[in-house]
Amino acid sequence: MVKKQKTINKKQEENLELENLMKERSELTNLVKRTQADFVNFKNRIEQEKKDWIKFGEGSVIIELLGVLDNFGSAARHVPEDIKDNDWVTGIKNIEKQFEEIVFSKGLVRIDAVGKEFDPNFHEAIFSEESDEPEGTVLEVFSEGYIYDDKVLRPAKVKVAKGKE
Amino acid sequence: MGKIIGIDLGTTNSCMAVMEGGSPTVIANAEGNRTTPSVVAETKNKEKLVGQLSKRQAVMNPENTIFSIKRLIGRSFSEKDVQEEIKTLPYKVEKADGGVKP
Repeated sequence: MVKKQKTINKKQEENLELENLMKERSELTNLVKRTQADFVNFKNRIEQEKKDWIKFGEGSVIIELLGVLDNFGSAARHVPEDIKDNDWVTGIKNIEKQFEEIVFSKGLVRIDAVGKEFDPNFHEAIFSEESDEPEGTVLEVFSEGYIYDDKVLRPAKVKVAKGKE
Repeated sequence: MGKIIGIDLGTTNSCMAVMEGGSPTVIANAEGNRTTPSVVAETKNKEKLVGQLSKRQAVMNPENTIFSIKRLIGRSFSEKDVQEEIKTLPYKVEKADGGVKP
């Protein structure tokens, strides 16, 4: 009788252990599946990022060069009247043109703004002013915006027409 | 299996991450930035904008550009601080059932 009881207890213990092991197994299986999915996602993302990085690398260099381009532009706008036609000044302007040609040949595109309807995808409104133009029209560009590899590298900073009160 | 995304909703900027291999990984937004301005807007054409785009048009559309909303979330409309705050905000804040509704 006692022996029989012991056997039953042992059986119950074994069952419990089996149940625990089964539970643990399913937990581990889930974890493996999840980790595997994570890994596949990770691999795909790294692949994509690798491609992006190359473009991003070029983009980040170009973005820094934009500052130089801006300064060339503002310098050209403020050439003193008396030396406007000086050969040296023309030379400097040609350097600006050469510089522009290089960055544009890399796939940089200037954002059209003046006269266009304001689009937050490409333009950043600095302020709005009453005007005869229809509401939302870009009136003036303060700093040019650029697109590179279908991404806006820098939005154009603009003044926008406001409806008359 | 669907992914769970964690959002750190900040007053000025927000950041999103997913768990990957047991550790969180920040994900970039469509513009490639790791943080997104906590700003939403509705344009005059009833178009809804989120993040950087809403920020860019904020000066043209101050009444319909919602920013810094975290400062008001969960607070009572009648609170003194909230009333002070409302005076400085360009968007309209209305009283809702016991709470605040911008």
